Amino acid sequence: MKRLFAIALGILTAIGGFVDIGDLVTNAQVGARFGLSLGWVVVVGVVGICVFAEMSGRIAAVSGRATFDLVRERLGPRVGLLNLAGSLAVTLLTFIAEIGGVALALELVTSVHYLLWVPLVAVLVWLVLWRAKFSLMENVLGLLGLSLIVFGVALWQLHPDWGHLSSQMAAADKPLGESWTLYAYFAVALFGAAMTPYEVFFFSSGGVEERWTTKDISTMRANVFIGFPLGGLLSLFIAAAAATVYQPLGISVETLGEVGLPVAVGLGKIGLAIAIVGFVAATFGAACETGLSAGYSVAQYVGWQWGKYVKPRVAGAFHLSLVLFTVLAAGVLMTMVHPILVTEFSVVFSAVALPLTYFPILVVANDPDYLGEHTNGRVANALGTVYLVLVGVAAIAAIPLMVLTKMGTA
Amino acid sequence: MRRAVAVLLALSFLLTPFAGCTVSHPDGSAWRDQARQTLDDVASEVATASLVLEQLNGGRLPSSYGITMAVAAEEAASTAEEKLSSVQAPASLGGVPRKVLALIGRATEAVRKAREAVVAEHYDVSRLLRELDRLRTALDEQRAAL
Amino acid sequence: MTTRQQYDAALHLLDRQIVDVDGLLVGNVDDVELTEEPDGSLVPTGLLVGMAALLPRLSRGLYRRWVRLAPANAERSRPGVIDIEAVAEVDSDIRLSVGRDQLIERRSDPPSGPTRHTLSELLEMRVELADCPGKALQVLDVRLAERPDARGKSVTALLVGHGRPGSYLGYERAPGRGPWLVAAVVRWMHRHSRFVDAAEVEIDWEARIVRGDVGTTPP
Repeated sequence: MKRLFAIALGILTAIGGFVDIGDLVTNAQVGARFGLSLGWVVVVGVVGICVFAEMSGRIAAVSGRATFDLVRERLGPRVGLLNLAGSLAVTLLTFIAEIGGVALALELVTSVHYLLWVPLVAVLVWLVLWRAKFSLMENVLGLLGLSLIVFGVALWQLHPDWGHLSSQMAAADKPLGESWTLYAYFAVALFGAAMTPYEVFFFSSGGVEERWTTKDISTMRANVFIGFPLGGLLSLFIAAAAATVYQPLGISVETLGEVGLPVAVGLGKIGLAIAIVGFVAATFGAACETGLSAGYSVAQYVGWQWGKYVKPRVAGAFHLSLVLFTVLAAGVLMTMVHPILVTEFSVVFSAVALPLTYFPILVVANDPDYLGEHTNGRVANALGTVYLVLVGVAAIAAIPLMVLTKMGTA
Repeated sequence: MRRAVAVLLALSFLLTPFAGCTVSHPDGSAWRDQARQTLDDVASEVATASLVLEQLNGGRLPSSYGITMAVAAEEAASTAEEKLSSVQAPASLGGVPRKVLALIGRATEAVRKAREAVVAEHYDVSRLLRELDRLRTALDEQRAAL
Repeated sequence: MTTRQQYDAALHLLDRQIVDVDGLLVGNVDDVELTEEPDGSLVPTGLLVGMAALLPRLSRGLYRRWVRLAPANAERSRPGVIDIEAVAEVDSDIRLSVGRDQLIERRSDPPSGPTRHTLSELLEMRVELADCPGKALQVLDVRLAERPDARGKSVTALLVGHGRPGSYLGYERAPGRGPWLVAAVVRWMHRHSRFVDAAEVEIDWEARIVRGDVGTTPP
């Protein structure tokens, strides 16, 4: 019974934890502009994150090694350092975007300018990382993040043309008047939003710290294979709600307010309040996770003691790095750079940085030295290879597409 | 070491002319592209403003949320307007740029009025709503005509 | 010091996490100290950690500049050592039999003391083999195996080939490992790689060249 409860809790928090500021903004933007014609990318991205997370979760369970440990072990200190620089930059960018996202959500409730919220949010994030019972926070925020299901209810209340939405999704064709480069750019952005590297750092490091063993592999798989796809479904609800309200009016989504407005149109104030709770929980939870992930990647490269459960006294260098990252993130936001812009950059650069960690994980997942009899099977390797190619193509295409489309504005 | 310095000098020298002039002088088609983009952006803000007013009037939106959205729409519309008006329009286009900018100016003004109504909590503004609707159509038509 | 009979130093020791007896993390293995025995064999005697061990592996030039920034500081040219005696087990991490506090020390050998080298000096050394002249081979890894008199491990063979140490990604040890695409690319890149017996080569530490007669191909 207790075990069943633990599995259910794991799945529910995986659903709530899947969506972050990148998913919120990118899905609403794409929905408003392309309807569900890019919905297939969300599906491809979710399958990808499942493949990636399952491999690194399995490695964590069998060998007790987290993602960044392996990056340096497999690629050596030089390539490992470049890798660290790339992944850390993207994770920090996401961290900045998440803190900004919490501030934007609070602005919507209070109409107090988001910049005034940034220092408070940053301090709260740091306090949670430093002091709080992290497992409790993680579960509470994950469960509160589930309130984003309200987008599904709102979609149903908006009485969309279901046939039109499903044919858009099935046909995967771009709407008239949009160019293929733009379509490709938003495809890469959605892919990056679904497959953010920090999710995997956090997931596998958590597994190492909770001392998963081979017995936990099935629980881990349940979390990944049920939780992440349902989280992806939330993303599709957000896109479909935006498509239903905004596409006929020609509105493009540029603010967090516009992400939530379809819920108000469908369900009114109460629905909107639930959605905002979801925004705050999802972005705050993701802020904690990205902050920790940034710390993990540095600590694992150098070999410092790290962990969300270890006391600052035992892991001094790790906790110091968390303080520095939080100060840096708040500092960047205080320069008035807009969080939505940071979000747009972070999802594209996520796609760029993904192969850096994906490739070593795929190699180690095949290494019997680490995994014994639990190395990749045929299905995992077939999917793993397909995604190695996909991830590579997205990474190469991302920056040229970003320049060509002027970040989707041309 | 000396080579590194030479490369650094050459790179920084090359960057200088690409940094752009203070006023950009696009040609006809580049200006039209930029104008179309601006018309698109402003039309989106006009539609957002009227959607926010409707929702506030229907009691489906808390006022703080409405204010934040209306302020953001106004800011975005005026930024887009400013960006286009600060570009030197090519003489070959005749009176078109002036006409386009005037339309965008009226639209921005209407979004500003919508923001005023939202902040003052006067949600029952059917005339303003009709004006916003007309402007949105006009912006779309102008965009198609360019 | 370990349950494993033999392993490859670059693959199994370098860059691995060091964990102390209480499960606390100590650091990563930045380099391995190799000491020359009177009979000429090389014996791993310590794990080197810290910037003074890591920086030379990142970039020699960077390391020299870093030392020059504080010329009076001897710690910058002498890395910290964890004695190999403290290692209890070499697995996916390296477990010690002692606690981490005050563990890392610096060697202060007398002038007549043993000759010490590091693994990173040996890696990437140029290799000249009699049976394949003119090919730019390098040392990619170093195989350590139990000595016949059971006094710990010593270097028994060198893996030589093209490319960089570690670029074999562990594919040399397990034939038939997937995914097929990666395995095929790695195997093609390392088609000239082979093991050479350490007893049959001569290591010139000054000129950074390994000379020898014949090599054997990987199993």
